Amino acid sequence: MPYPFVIAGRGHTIMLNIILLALKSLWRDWRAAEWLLVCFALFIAIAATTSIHFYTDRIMRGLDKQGARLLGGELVISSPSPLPVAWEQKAREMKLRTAQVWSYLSVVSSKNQKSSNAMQLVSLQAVSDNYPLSDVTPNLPDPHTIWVEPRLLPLLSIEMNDELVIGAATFQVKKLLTSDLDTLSSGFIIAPRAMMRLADVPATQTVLPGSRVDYRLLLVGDASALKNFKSWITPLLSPSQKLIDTHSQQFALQNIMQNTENYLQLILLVCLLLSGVAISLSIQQYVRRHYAQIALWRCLGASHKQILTVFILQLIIIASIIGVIGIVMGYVAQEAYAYLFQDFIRFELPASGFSPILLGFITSNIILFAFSYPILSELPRTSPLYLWRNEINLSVLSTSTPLMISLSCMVLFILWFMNFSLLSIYFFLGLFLSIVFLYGVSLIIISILRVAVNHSEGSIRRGISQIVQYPFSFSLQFIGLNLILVAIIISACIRSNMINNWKQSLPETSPNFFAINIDKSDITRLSQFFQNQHIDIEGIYPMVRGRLIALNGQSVLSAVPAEAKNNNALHRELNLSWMWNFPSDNKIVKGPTWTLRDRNKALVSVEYGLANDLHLKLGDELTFQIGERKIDAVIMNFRTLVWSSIHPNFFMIFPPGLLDNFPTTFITSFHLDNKQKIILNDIVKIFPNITIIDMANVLLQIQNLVSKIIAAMQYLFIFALGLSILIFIASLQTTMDERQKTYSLLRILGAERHYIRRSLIVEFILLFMLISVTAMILGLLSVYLLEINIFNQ
Amino acid sequence: MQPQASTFLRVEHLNKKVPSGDSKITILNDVNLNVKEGESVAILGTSGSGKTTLLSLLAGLDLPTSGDVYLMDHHLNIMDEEQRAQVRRNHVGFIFQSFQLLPTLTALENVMLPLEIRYIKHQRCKIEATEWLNKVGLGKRLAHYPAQLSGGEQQRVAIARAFINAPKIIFSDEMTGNLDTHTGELITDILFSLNQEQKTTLLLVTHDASLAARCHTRLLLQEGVIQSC
Repeated sequence: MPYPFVIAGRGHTIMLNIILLALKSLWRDWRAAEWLLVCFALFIAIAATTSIHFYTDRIMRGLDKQGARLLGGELVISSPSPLPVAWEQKAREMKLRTAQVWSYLSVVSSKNQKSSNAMQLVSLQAVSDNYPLSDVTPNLPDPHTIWVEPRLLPLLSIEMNDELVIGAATFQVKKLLTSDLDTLSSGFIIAPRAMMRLADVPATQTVLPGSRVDYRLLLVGDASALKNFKSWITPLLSPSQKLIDTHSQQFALQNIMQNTENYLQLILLVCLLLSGVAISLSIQQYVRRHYAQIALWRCLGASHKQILTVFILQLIIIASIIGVIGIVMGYVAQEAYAYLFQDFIRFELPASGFSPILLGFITSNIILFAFSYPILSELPRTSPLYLWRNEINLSVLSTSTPLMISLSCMVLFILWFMNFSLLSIYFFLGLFLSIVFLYGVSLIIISILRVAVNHSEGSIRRGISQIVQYPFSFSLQFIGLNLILVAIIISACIRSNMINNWKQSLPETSPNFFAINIDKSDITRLSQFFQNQHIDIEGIYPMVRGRLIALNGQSVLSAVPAEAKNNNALHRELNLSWMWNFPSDNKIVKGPTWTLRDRNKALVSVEYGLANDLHLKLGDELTFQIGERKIDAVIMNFRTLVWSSIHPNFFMIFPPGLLDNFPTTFITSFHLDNKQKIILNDIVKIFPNITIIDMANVLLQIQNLVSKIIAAMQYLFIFALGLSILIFIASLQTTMDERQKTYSLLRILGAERHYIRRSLIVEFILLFMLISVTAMILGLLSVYLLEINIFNQ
Repeated sequence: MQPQASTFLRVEHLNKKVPSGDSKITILNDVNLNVKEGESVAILGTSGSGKTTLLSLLAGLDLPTSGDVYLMDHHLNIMDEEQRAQVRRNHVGFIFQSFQLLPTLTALENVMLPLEIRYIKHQRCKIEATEWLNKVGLGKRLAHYPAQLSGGEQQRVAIARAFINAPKIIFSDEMTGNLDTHTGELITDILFSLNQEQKTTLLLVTHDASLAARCHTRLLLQEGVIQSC
């Protein structure tokens, strides 16, 4: 009589049945804590990456906002001519908030009797009604009033509430400007500054057709709207008009922002790697424990396809459930970080975005599949004969194919996730080479230990044997633990090196003032003046204004690639300088430096970022238009420099001699602390033609921002370290089964406790020593390569 | 060649050799065997005589070096592993020496397993498994894990599992080997009682003469060669 039960249904019914079987089987495994380690590792991976992603997303968007605060807007259009009204209208149509700032130099005079009508050149900023955009409510002077920098008061011998005259209008001084929010990108602003309403400008009659005014349209709003506006406006811009955002190359914080982003990417990669190691180690343990179960299933007639489908479904279910839990935990954790670090990160963090949720979910599936599927997919091949023979004959070849496919998918996903950044490519290249190298080293170690085991006795022999007896397990553990340690070393070293570099580039005594328009005849007297006042200066550099017009004899605009044609450096005059020794923060990265023999030679040193943007090569010939004359020079080297430092920075530097005969002014920078600022008035009086530019507020804001970033990074590192330790413990746990089996047997055979303890100590000390040495070598090598290629650009 | 109508399990010129270094060891040497439907057959032999290997070949768990195995209408050694798995799923039950219960499953869940693999509805599996556990006298131990059961009880669970999918044939490998004499006899009683009730063909591999004595046919496997005893 045929059995009444048959495999019922077709198509979706069978799929539903398999899902139910997978769920049932998963629940039973879960009940027996079989998936616990895998789930724990996956949970940690998702919670960690999602929380870091949530938090860094908020930090980066917050930092962007901070950067935008310094810039005045998330996107700024700067123009030497009035901006078309249609542009602002279009921006508003795209739901962007806008404000206008006109910056220009003007003379103010005092109406105060005591000051006997003193006059002073000021940098005026006329701002529209909704300025500044970074604040919810506008914060600008009332009509017919003006806010001024404190230094202006003694210069004009006036006090608060006194009146000032600008052109044809009179203004009352109502407030002192404590910080200038958008000075950073506006280049040289001649101090002292004053701020008034844009609506008051016509009354002053100071802006006439042809006046030299920097017209700026500041924009903030939704990222996609900004992007759309950027695409819309770019073709409409004339060569003299430029678009600036916080990622613009000349934005002083660009380097710092880029490095911060790189570091956060590195931490994310490290977290993913650590979790991957833990998952693959724990899945091995799962597989070892399930040979008998699968052999029984096979014996009872389950097909290979059926078992594999059940496993795939189980992985999807686990990835989904743990993904959701991990994402929720990640969200909670990042809220906790935000709360814990609110004193360190003093700017307001924007609300969490949605992208980390989706990415967390995808990451959960990809990480779990990439690290577990190749191993798990072999399990359904377990022969039913395992129930009798306890032997496993799995084909290495059949394991390696899904392994390669899964790992490739994961690598591609992470590379995509990281926008195919140089860092992620280096990371995986390094990872691949490290695994190959470590595997080779582990085989050598096992060969050596095999010899050593024959020459040792007692618990030492037992400890070494434990490693030798499980060579594959040792190799896996050796590679996994090494990678964990290397990841920790990299995170720690890169972080501390980066922080040190920043601190060095922005010390407390960084220059905070520029002096420009220095005449050649004033150089000796000015140097003496600084010396008398005990003010250090690095150098007084010559400066000639010139425009880059040709590259290798061809018009520069037609010679450079299409994407470089809008580069601002091609549409304005550049400051050209010459010197034997470059400023201290300049570093030659390609080509030789010049020697005394190069005097008068037609050579030029080009800033590396600009050279990259314009695709310049060493040996290219550049032509400059200086006044009526043209100068050719061959590129001898490329230099990096620190834009965030308040040093005179030049795109183009020549060897002395070539430009000597051009009309030259000189520039320097110096540091004054608050008490010394009164010296500025002396400089202005003794050297009336010199213009002083106050960068103190800008510097302070940069330093504040950098310290906030450092705090955030320190915290993130501690988090990654904690995670590493947890995963380290979990990884060790996964290899305990084999030890437990061996040592239980030894106990049955009468081994004493202290013999087992000593054997374990020998094994672990040996393991620890071997791993420490290789991890240290690999870690430091990786740090060195990363610093050269990624973090010191 | 097709098996004769009355033959349920037929083995012809079965050989099994396994590699050992450069040479090959003969485990089974020209084994011929006919088992009729409902018959109980005991294969006796000392350790290492090839009993387990023979059983694994008859159940389609392994393939012979040469020779043929026909189980019902199925020529096992020309079928692939998936087809053989299907035959096992539909027609075969197993009882092992070391019970082979899954330690993470309760007694009830262990018995449900063969039906679950066939996607039988959960409720139906549960009813069937409960009924079979009642039959082997473990109706009150449904929720117990193997570790909470004695050896005899575990083997009773295994017997229930072997019968639940109404197999045509049950292969048993030294099923009393891990049990004391009294418990072994109890388990044997249960097996033969259920076998009679279900009219199942029974093929036992054992070195327990008293167990073999209860079978219709007794064969001796010695150094890979089978003979009547």
